[in-house]
Amino acid sequence: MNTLRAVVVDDEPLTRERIVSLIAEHDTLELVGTARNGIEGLDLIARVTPDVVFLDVQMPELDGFETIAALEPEKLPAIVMVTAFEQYALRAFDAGVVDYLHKPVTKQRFGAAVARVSERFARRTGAESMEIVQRAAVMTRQRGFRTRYVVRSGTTHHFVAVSTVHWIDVADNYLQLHTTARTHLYRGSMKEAEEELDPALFVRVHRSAMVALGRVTSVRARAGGGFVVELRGGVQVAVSRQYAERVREWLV
Amino acid sequence: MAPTSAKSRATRYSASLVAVSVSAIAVAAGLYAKVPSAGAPVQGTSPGALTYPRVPGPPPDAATLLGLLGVGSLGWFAAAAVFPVLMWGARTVETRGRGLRVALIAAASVTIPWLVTGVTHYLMVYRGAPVRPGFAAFLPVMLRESLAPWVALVALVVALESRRRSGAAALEAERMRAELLEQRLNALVGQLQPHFVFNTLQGISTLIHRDADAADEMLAKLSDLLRELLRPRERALVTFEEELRYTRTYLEIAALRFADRLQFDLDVPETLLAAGIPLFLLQPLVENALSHGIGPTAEGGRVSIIARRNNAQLEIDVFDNGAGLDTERMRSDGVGLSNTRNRLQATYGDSQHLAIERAAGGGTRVRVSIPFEAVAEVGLPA
Repeated sequence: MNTLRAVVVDDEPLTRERIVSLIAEHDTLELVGTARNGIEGLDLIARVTPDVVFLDVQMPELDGFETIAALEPEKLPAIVMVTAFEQYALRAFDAGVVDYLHKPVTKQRFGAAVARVSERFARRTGAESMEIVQRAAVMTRQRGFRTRYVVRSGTTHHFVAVSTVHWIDVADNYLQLHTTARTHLYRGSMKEAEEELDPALFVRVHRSAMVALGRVTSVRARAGGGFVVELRGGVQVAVSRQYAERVREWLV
Repeated sequence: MAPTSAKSRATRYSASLVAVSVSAIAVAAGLYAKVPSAGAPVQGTSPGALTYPRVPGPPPDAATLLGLLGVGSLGWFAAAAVFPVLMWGARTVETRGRGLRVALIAAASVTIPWLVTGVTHYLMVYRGAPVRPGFAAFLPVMLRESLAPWVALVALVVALESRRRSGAAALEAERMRAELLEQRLNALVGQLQPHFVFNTLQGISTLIHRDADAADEMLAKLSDLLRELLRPRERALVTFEEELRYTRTYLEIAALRFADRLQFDLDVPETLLAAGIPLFLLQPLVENALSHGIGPTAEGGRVSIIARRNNAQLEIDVFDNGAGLDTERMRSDGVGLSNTRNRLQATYGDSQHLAIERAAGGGTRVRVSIPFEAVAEVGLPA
C-alpha cells in the first residue's frame, strides 16, 4: 500500500502533538506538516498537497468547515475532522463523506479512521469531492451573511473583508472582487454571491455585476437607454434592463 | 379532570354539608322511631334541674336499648357523619388570603349540625311527654350537654389538617429547593463550554504519553474546576477571593492548553477580596477574552484581570491584548455577554454596569461595575 501523506491542522498544541504521535505509529502514514489555524492549513495543503488532513473543527480565524469550503475540489485530500463537541454540526455535514474523531482521540479510534481513509480515498470520485466542498460552503453560509472571502494567490491564502470590496463582476468561473488596492479572484458564481452577501450592503445591477451600495455616488441614465451606476473613484458599472427597476427604487 | 375553581369547590362543600345534615337527621329520625315514648312526666322538670329522662317500666329489650343509645349519642353520630365532609372541606378549600370566609364556613359546618342535633334531641326526649320545658330553658342545657362531640370534631379536623399541611408545605419547600438547585447547576455547568472541557481532556490524554506528572497536574486542575462548579451552594454570591480562585484555575488550564500562547495576571488588592460577587461572573468574560482576544492571533497574548474600588462600586476589568473586536461586533454585542448582562441586571438592577471597549494598546477591555458589598463569611463548604 502506498503511504498516505498527512497534515494536521489544529490550534490546540496538545491535540496536534497527540495526532502527530499517532501518525508516527502508523506505517501507512507520513507526516508532511502541521498548521495552527485554517489559513495556515490552507497554505500548507496548497503547498504539500497531502492525501489526508486531520482537521480541527473549531479554530480561530478560519474553522474546519470554512477551511474545507476554501479547498480546491480537484485536489481535495481525504478529510478527518477532529472535534471537541460539534457532533451535531458534523452529522448535518454528513459524516459519511469524511470521518471524524472525538477528543480525546484514542489509538484504536484513530486506527479505524486511518483504515477508512485508506479504503475510501482510493475510490472517491471527483463528484464526491465537489460535494464535500459544497456542503462545507453551505454549512458556513447558514451562519449568516458573508463577511469575508478567503482568496488564494499561488499557495498563500488571505482574507478579503467584504467591507473593502467596491464591486464584483464575473470572469469565467471566478468572481472578481474589486478593492481599492487590487482585484481578487474567488471561485464562485454571481448567484452564490447574491445569496451570500447582505442585500442591504450589496445590490445586483447586472447579470454579471454587483455593487456596494455604500460606494455608489450617482445613478445616471445612459444615452442609449438604461442606466449606469457610478462609484466613488469614478468606476462606472452598467445596469441591465432586468435590474433597472431596482435601480429606480434607490433613486426614490 | 378540569381544575375546580375555589368558588365551585365552596359550592360543592356547602351542598355536601346540607346533604350530610339531612342524612344525620334521617338517621336520628330512624333511631327516634325505636325509642319508646316517655309517656310520663319526667322527674325534676323544673327548668334549672333538667336531667335526661329515665325510661320507666320493665328493663328495655335490646332494640330499645340500642335506640336509647342512639338518642344519647346522637351528637357523636352526627359529628362522625360530618367529620369526612369537614375533612374534605379543610383539605380542598384554599385558606390563603380568605381567612374570614373560611372561618365562617367552618363555624357554620359545626354549629348547624350541632343545633340540628340539639333540637332533634329535644324533640325526641320530650316526645309524648305531657309537660316539656320551654325551648328557651332547654337550649343552654342542650348546647352544653351536646357540645363535646363538636369540640372533639373541630379539634380532630384542625389537628389532622394542620399536620397534613405542614407535611405538604415541607415537601413543597423541599421540591422547590431541589428544583432551584438543579436550575442553578444547569446554569453553572452551562458556563463551562464543552469545547473547553474536551480540549482539556485531549490535553490530559496527550500528556499521559509524554509527561505523566504534567497530565496529573492538568487533571487535578480540571477536577478543581469541576468541584467548584458542582459544589452545592446556598447563595449565588461568593467572595471575590473565591471567584478569583476559580478564575485562576480556569486560566491555568487554558495556559496549559495554549502552551506558550497565553500569559495571564490577576491584580486585585487584598482589601477587595471579601467583596461579594455573583458566582462565576468572571469566567464568561475570561472565556470571551480567550476566544475573541487570544485565540485568533497565532502569537497568542495576555489576559489581565484588574480590580479596584471606585467609591461605592467594585470595578473589575478583564483585558486581553489580542486581535481586538471590530466596532460592529461590539455594537451588536455578539460576543456572548448577554447572559452576563442579564445576570447583573437581575442581581443589581440599575446599580451595575458592563461596558466593552477597545483597549488602549489594542485588544479589548470588558469593565464590570457592581456595588461593593462585603460578604460576612467566606462561602466555605460545610
